[in-house]
Amino acid sequence: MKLLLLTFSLFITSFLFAYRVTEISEIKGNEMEITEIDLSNKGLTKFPSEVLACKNLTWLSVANNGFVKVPSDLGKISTLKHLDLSKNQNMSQFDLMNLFDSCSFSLNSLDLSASALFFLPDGVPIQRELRKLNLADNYLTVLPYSMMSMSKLRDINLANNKLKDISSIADYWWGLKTIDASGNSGVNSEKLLMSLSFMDGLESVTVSYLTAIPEQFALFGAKELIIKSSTISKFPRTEYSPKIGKLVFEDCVFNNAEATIASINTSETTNYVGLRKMVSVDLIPFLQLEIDSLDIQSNVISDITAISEMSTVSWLDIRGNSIPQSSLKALAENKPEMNMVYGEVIQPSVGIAPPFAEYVQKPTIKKIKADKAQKVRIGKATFDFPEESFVSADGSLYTGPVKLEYTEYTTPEEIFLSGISMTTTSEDETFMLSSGGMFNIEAKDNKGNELALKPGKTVDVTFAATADNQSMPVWQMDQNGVWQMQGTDKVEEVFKVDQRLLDSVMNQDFYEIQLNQIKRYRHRYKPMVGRGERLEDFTISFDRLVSVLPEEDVKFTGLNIEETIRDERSHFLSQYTFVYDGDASRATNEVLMDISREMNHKYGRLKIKGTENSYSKNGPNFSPELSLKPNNSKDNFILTFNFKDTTFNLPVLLIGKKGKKASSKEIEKFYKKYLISHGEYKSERERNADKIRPLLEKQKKAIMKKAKKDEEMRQERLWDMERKYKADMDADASSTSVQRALNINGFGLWNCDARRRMMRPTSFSQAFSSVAGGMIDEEPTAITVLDRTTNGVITFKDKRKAFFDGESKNVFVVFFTGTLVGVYRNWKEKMDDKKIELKMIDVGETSAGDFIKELKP
Amino acid sequence: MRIILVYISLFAFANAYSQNRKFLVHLNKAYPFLVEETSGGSSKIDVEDFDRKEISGYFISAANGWIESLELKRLEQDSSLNKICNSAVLKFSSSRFKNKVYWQREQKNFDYALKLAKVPHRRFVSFGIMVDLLDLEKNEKFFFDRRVKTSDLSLYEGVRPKIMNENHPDYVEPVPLEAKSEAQLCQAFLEQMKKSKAFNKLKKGNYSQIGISVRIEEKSLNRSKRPFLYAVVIFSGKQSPKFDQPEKIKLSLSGYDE
Repeated sequence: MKLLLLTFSLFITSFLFAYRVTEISEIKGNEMEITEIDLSNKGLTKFPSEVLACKNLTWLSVANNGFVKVPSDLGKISTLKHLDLSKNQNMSQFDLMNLFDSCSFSLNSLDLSASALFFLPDGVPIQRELRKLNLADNYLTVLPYSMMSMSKLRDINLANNKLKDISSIADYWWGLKTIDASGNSGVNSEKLLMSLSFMDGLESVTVSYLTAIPEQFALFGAKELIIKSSTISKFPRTEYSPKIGKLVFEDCVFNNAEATIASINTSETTNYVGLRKMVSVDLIPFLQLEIDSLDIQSNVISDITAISEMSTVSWLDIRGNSIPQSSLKALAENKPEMNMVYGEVIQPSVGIAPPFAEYVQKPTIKKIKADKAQKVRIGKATFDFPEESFVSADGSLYTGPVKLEYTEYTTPEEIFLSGISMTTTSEDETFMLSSGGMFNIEAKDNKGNELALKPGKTVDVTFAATADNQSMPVWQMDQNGVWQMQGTDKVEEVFKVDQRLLDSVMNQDFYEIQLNQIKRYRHRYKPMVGRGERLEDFTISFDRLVSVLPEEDVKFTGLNIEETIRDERSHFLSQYTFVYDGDASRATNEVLMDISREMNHKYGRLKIKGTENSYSKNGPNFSPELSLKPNNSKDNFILTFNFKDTTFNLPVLLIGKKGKKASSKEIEKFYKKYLISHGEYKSERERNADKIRPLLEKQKKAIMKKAKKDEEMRQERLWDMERKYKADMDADASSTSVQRALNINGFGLWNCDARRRMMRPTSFSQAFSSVAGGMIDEEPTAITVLDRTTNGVITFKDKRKAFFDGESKNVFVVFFTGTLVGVYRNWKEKMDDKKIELKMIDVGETSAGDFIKELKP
Repeated sequence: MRIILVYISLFAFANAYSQNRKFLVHLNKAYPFLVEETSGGSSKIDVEDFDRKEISGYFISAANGWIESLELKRLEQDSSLNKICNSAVLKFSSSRFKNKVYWQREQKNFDYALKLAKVPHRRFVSFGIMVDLLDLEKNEKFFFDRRVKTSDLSLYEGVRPKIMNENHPDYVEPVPLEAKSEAQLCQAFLEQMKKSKAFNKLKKGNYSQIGISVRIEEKSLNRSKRPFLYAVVIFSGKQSPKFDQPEKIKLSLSGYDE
C-alpha cells in the first residue's frame, strides 16, 4: 500500500514541476512530462505535430514562424493555459476559427498580436477564463459582440488596429487592470475614457488621438494614463482632477501648456509625468512642473542644465537623448540629491577571458575548397564565399583545401562561457552590448596555417537570429580585444508578408459579408404621434412609405442575396390607431417624434417624383417593422417595432371606429385579423428562407473555395522561400524565422550588437544565502549578470558596484574561491532587499552540458 | 356684465380644474383597502358614528346577493377599485352625483385613475348614487326641531304642531324619526342601482371586480332635510378575452431568427 502511494505521488509530482523544451527534437520520448514548449522564431513552415502528443502541456509558444495550417487537434490539449501564436502572418484564419470553435482548453492568456488578423474568431470570447489578451498590430475593425461576456479579462492590448468603437464592449470588462487602445484612429478615446471612468481596479490605460479630456475624467481611477499622438487643448480643472499617479504624454502637442501644467501642479495624486517624443522647444513651459518624478526620454535634448531650476524633482529619466557627459556632470553637481537615470557605470572589459577553461565551446569544422565561389552553411550561419577569396600569410592566393573553424554564441550562457567581453566605450561612456548573435570564423590550410580573406573581397553572411530586433551595428573584435564597429546588418524576416500583397484569406470583406449578406427590401413605416387629453394618452399610428420593390422575392447577385418582403402584418397594423397605455410617456413621446422627423429627413429625398407616396427601394433600410402581442395580464397589447438598433415595446390600447376605445367585439375581431396577417407574413418569410438557405451555402462554398486556393498559393510561396534558404540544409541544422545579413571583410570574431542602457538599474543586495540553507559569508570574487531579455553579459569584480536590470529576466553567476559558484535565476530562486538565494554548484564535478542547463529557464 | 361673466367662468373652470386635481392628489396619497362583506341586519344606522367601511361591506354583500339571484357571476372585491371609489366619493362635489351628464364627464378621470392605480382591467363602468338614510316613506311629511331631544336626527313625523311647549296641557309629543336599519339601507341602495340600470350593464359586459365607497352628506344632517349618503360603485373587467400569443417565426438562417 505504501509502495502504491509512493508510486502514485511520484507519478503525480512528475507533472507538477515545469518541464520546458525549446527544440522539437527534445519532445519525442518526453511527451507526458513536458509542460512548456517554446518554439518561437524557429523558421517552422509546418505546425510541429509532435506538440499535439503533449497532453499535459500548459504553456505553448509558436510565435514568429511561417506555418499556414493550424491543426484543430491542438484544441484537444485541455490543460493548455497560455498560447502564443503572435507574429504568424501566414497563419490560416480559417484554421484559427475552427480551432477556437472546437477547442476544449480554457486559456488564461492568449497572444495573437501581429498575425494579420482581419477579424477575431467568435470562439475567442468564449474563452471565459481568459485574463490576458494581446491583439496588437492587426487589422481588426470590430470586436465580436460576445466579448462583453469576458468579465475575467485583466489585461488587453488592442494597439495599432483599425478599431472603430470599443466603449460599448469595454463597459462590461469590470475586472480590467490594463488596456492599450492606442494607434486606433477610429476609436473615440473620449468615449472610451468615460466608459473606463467607472471601473475600480484599473491600473494602466493607454489611448491616442485624444482631442479633449471629458468631464467624467474626475472619476477616473487608474494609476497610470499614457496619452499618445494627441493634441491636448484642455485639462480638467483642479476640482475635477482624477486620481492618476503616473501621467505620460508621448508625441503630443499642447495648445495650452500653462493650463495643463497648473492642473497637474494642483493635483495631489500625480507625482510622475512623462513627456516623450516631443519637440525640445515645446518642453520649456514644463520647467514649471512641481512633481516628484520627471521622464523626458527620447526627446533629442542636448542640454539639461535648466532642470536644476525644478526644485521638487527628485527622480529624472533622460535616456534616449543626446546629452553630453559634461551637461550630466553639471546637473549632478547642482543637484546631488537628484536620482538620474541616464546610464550606468559599467566597468569596461576587453578581450576573451573564459571563466571556466573546461567549458569553452569547441569549434565546428567544415572542409571546403578555396578556388571556387560557394555557399557554405555551418551552424546557424551561411557564408557566401566569392571565388579566389583565400590568401596565405604571405599574401599569396591560396587555392587548396580549407578547414573552416566556426563557433557561434547566440545565447547568454554561450556568451558567458566563452568569456568574450560584451562592453564597448563611446564618448567616455561604457555601454553594455546586447547581442543579436555572435560567431567566430577561422580558416586554416591543410597544414594548420592560418588563412586570411583576400583584401577587397567580402563574404556575405546570413545568420539565423535569435530575436527579431531592429537592424544592429556589426562589430569585429580587433587584436587588442576591443570591439570595432564595421557597419550595420540587415534584418530579414523570412515569413513576413508584404501587406500590399496579402491575399486576405479571411479578410474583412468576408466577415462583413457574413454579417450583411442578405439585403432586405420592404415598405417603411413612419410613426405618427397624436395628442391626447393628457401627455400619457397620446395616440400612435403609422404612415406607410410605399416603396417600389423588386418583383422577385429572392434574388442572388453573386455576392449579395436580396430579399423582398411584402409584410402584410405591418401593413395591417398601419391601418389602425392605438393609444398609449403606459408610464413615462414624455420620453417615449419625444423618441417617437424624433424617429418621425428623422425618417422625414432621410426618406424625403427618396420620394419618386410624380407619385403620391412612392419611394425608391434604396436608401437606409432601417424601418420600424411592426408586430403585436397581447398582454393578458395588463389587458392591453404590446406593440413592437425595431428602429435601427433599438427595439420599442409600447403598451397600447386599440382605438375603435368612433374614435373611442374599442369595444370587446371590435378588439376580438381585430386580433383575429391580426393573426391572419401574421400567418401570411410568417409563411412569406419561411418561403423566402427556403430559397435563401441553399444560396447562403453556395455563397459560403464559393468564398471558402477562393480562400482555400489563396492559402494553397501562399503555402507554395513559403515552400519556395524555404527551398531558397535551405539549399544545403543539414538534417540537424536548425533555422529561425529572422535572418541577419551582413558582410565581413576578414575572419575572426564578429558580433551583431546594440549598445544598451538598462531600463531599471538595480543594485545588488549585499548578502547571499544558499538554497540548501544558511548564509554565505565568503566574499565573492566576481559576479556575472546574464541578461536573458537583452542577451547581454556583464561581469563585475566589486560586489558593491554591481547592478542588474530589474526589468529583465536575469541569471547571476557568483564566483567564490575554489570551484564553487552560486547561481541565481530570477524565475526559481528568491531575492529580497536583504539577501539573494544562490544554488551552489561545484563546477569541478559538473559537466558543461549540465551547467548550461542550470543557466537556462 | 361681461367682466362678471368672465370672472364667473374663470372661477367655474378653476373650481372644476381644482376638483380634478384634488381627486388625483388624494388618489396618489391613498392606500388600497378591502372591506368585510357582511349582510346588513336589523340594527339602525348610527349617523353620528358612521362607519363607512362597514356600510360599504353591506352594500357589496347586497350587490353580490342580487347578482347571484340574476344567475350572474359573483363580483370580487378589488382593493384598487375601493381606493379609487374612496377618493371619488370624498373629493367629487355633489353636483356630480345629481347630474348624469356631469357624472359622465368624470369617466376620463376614472380611466386615468385606473391606469395610475395599475388596475389590470381596461373595461369599467361607474355609478354615483345617493341613498336616503331616513326611515320614512318618500311622500310622508316630517319636520325638524332641534329643541326636542328624542330624535338623533332632530326629525319628527308629520307636520310641525302649533303647540311646542311641553308644559302646555294640549302638548303632544312628536314622533321621532330614525335612520334606516342596515337591511333597509341595503334595499334602498339596490333600488338606486336598479334605477341606474347597473345590473343591466353587468349582463352585457365581462365584469369581474367591484369597488364601493360611501360617504354621508354632512350637510344633510341636523337640517330640515332627508339625510342621505353618497356611494360610488365601479365594476371592472377585462376588455378582451385571453388571447393566444402569435406563433414565433423561425427561419434558421445564420444570425437571423425571430
